[in-house]
Amino acid sequence: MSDDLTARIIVMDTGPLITLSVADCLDYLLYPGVPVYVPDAVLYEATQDSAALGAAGILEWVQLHSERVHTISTETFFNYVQSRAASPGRRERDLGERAAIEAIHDGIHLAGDERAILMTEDDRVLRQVLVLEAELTARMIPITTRDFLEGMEAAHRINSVEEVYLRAEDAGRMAS
Amino acid sequence: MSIEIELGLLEAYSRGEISRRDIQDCINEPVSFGDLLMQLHAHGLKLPRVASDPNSQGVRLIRQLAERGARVG
Repeated sequence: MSDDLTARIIVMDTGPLITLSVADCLDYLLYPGVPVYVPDAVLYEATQDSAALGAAGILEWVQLHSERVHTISTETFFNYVQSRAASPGRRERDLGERAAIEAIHDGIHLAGDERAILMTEDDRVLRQVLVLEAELTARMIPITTRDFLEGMEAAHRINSVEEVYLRAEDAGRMAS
Repeated sequence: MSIEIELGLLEAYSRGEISRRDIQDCINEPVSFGDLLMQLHAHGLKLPRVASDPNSQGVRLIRQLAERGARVG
């Protein structure tokens, strides 16, 4: 592989963060050695309830790695925060997803031949978005949590994909 | 507060047939991934192993970056 290959990881929804957090594997996101970006609303959804599964670990990890893990500000989230001021109990569906879509349109400015790896719990929705916008497809590559872990296992950076999932499921057992 | 999701939806999600978004569409409520994980466990169901293609561009790219990351340290 060319050593000048540049990429960044964009975490598109809460699933990858929570799965890796409860399995105590968030550092795996750093193993590719590229910057990690999280849209503001995705981070908010994952951590708004500090007692929620994985939330404390995610907050701590983001703070600990602030030089490598960055938040992407979006208008979607800004508008949500404004609306919450008027109606504090308001919950909004697909907030993170909408912020993430905005982020890949407007918040990510790829340089030269840089690529964005769009990490998601389920790439079906994302692929539909990208198919509709061909100019994004060439440089933005959707990847599921499992595919990310498969790549890491193939590179011998982690022992087992299945082990991560079993640990995440075990966390669900302990929390329920 | 989490909403109880009906078993059929949880089973379909666990098999990877539907997404979290599909569940939200069915029940017309936001569903967090963490709540989903706990409800899966309560019914003895697994997380879906949603995968595409081990030879896909994304998997190959992650592998290459991770190998480079190991060399660089």
